[in-house]
Amino acid sequence: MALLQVNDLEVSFDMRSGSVKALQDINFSIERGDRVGIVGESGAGKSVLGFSILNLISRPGSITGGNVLFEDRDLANLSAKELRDIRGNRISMIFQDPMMTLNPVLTIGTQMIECLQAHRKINKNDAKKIAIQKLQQVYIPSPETRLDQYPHELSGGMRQRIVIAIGLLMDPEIIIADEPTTALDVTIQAEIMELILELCERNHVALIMITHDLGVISQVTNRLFVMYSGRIIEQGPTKEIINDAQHPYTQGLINALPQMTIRGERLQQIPGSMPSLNTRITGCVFHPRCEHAENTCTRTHPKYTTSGGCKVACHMVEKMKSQPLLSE
Amino acid sequence: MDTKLNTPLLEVKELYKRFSISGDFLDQLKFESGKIRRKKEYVHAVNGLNLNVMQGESLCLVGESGCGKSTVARLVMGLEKPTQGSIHYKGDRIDTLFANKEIMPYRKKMQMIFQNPYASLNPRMTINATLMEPIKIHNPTWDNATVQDKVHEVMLSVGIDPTWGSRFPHEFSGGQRQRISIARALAVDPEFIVADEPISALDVSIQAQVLNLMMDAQQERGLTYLFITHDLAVVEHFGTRVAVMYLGTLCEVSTAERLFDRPRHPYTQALLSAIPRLNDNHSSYIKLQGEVPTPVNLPSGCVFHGRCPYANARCKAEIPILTEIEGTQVACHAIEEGRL
Repeated sequence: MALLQVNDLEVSFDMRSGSVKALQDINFSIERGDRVGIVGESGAGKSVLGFSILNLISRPGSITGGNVLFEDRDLANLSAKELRDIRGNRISMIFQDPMMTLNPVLTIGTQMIECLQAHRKINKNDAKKIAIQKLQQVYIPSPETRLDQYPHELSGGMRQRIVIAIGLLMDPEIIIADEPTTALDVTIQAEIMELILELCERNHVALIMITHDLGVISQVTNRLFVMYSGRIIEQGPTKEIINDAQHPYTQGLINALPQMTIRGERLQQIPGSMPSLNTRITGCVFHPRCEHAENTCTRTHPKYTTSGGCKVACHMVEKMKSQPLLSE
Repeated sequence: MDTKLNTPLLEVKELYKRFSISGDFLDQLKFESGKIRRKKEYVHAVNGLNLNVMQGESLCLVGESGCGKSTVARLVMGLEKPTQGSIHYKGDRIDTLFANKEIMPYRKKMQMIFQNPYASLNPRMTINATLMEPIKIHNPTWDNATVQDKVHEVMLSVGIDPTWGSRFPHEFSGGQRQRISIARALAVDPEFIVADEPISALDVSIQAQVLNLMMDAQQERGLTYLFITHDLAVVEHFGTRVAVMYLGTLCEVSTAERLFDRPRHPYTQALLSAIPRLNDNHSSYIKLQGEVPTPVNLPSGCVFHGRCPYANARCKAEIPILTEIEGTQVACHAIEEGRL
């Protein structure tokens, strides 16, 4: 039994112009201690996937197909009360902007104690002790005084550490981190990444990390999902994908990074941009931007092919291997 | 600086900028030990900055948020007036110009690209109107047909189909919008472009498109860039020279190759070690103690001393000056004394 299992998940949003599929054919499972990265550009559906795991999709969106099983229980069939028991308790989420996540008019202590008391029968003093202990775990200096401070009194890095501490309060089994360092500076990002990694290893927590930054992903995760236009187009061990990406989109994404090119040379770019979800594309969703695309790509959506430890949704994988383009 | 022929295009000398945060007169009155006092507080955004931008180079100004890099960009463009110090363009002092007539010729030569293409384009103006405005202002004698031709030309040069001119900004994607803002800057044929985080709001694959466009424009038009960013991976690729900024002062200025091969200043070393790279096994980055101090009460001496592992008594008392050591300009007592 997997800790978390996602089967054929489909999420749609009802728009005036008709229903739009934000996620399609999402299948994966996560075990304890896994560290999974989800990358993709904005609009690829990474955050929707993160939200749908916790059934946080709100109208006009809804899960229209498949299911999310947490310890074999379908999250879609649970009552609101049962869901509350899982959210923040067994599966917790860290959001991108710590200033938006924390309530500006409540002290850090109030927010932490509130969370503890919502999930367990515990008196205020004991809750306070746990809060202090969690703040120590994320290396916040003088945690006792922090409890009486408001979010605006703390720096960005500090706030994000508090958000992580709140995420850890109930010792969850899964942490979903949605772009946890995008709003932070590089030096602070490095600190936060190291902290998340250390906490996951020590507490044996499964991590689902959503980001657009391949550099961050390659340092923290051991499995990687690459998303494009609502689908996972490639998945496998992070190292393998970074070193030898099979899908043309993943290749393009990696090659577009400035560090992959000789200084001063033109960067390799993927032509065009991701289609809006309104536009219906028959066949492979990437084919309009793909330099390898052939007739088959415009007709049917590719099924996964296994290549090494990776699963790739591309018609051309075999062909690209046997006869690489001249430009490469 | 190697040869006398290389006169700087832009010179920034001893630049200071502070912003008052104490409000108006009544807000400044504070009651202290039985007396009413007037108390003024300032954010010291830029503190004694010296910087030269050479003709034809791409100088990257890097630093973390709040270090004053955007303030430098705005000061250079004349959008803010410096508290102290001077800015020279081709030897002419430009920070004291006040009348519109005096500034206009420099506005034509110096253009700016802003960070967020969603906010920097007027949503109620068509792309044509947006691009025509600067051309008309700076070339009042041109007739409509000439202006149209120019618009057509810049749109082509940034890869936007000229037939889309009657569309509005919301009809374009982020990358296309940033191309349009670049086109707007190029429309008046400037010599010098200040780009304030032009690609931070864009996706990776789009970032590459925009960076390529900027590099092409530089080659074709012989542009000089002052490129402001916090993304060091981009700097390594794009910049010819790099200036690293911390709390309103420069700590290191060097060519991009030298800076990335051998960073000297302890802050630069920490900053570079924090770049998340593909394919390295989370190699130990240099962890700085503490956090960036507030620019309201600047630390004495070297602004970095509180977080620097090499700091000694002199660092706490004396402000280090940028000095050239082995081809790199560094402001650090420890390097000067040979301790580092």
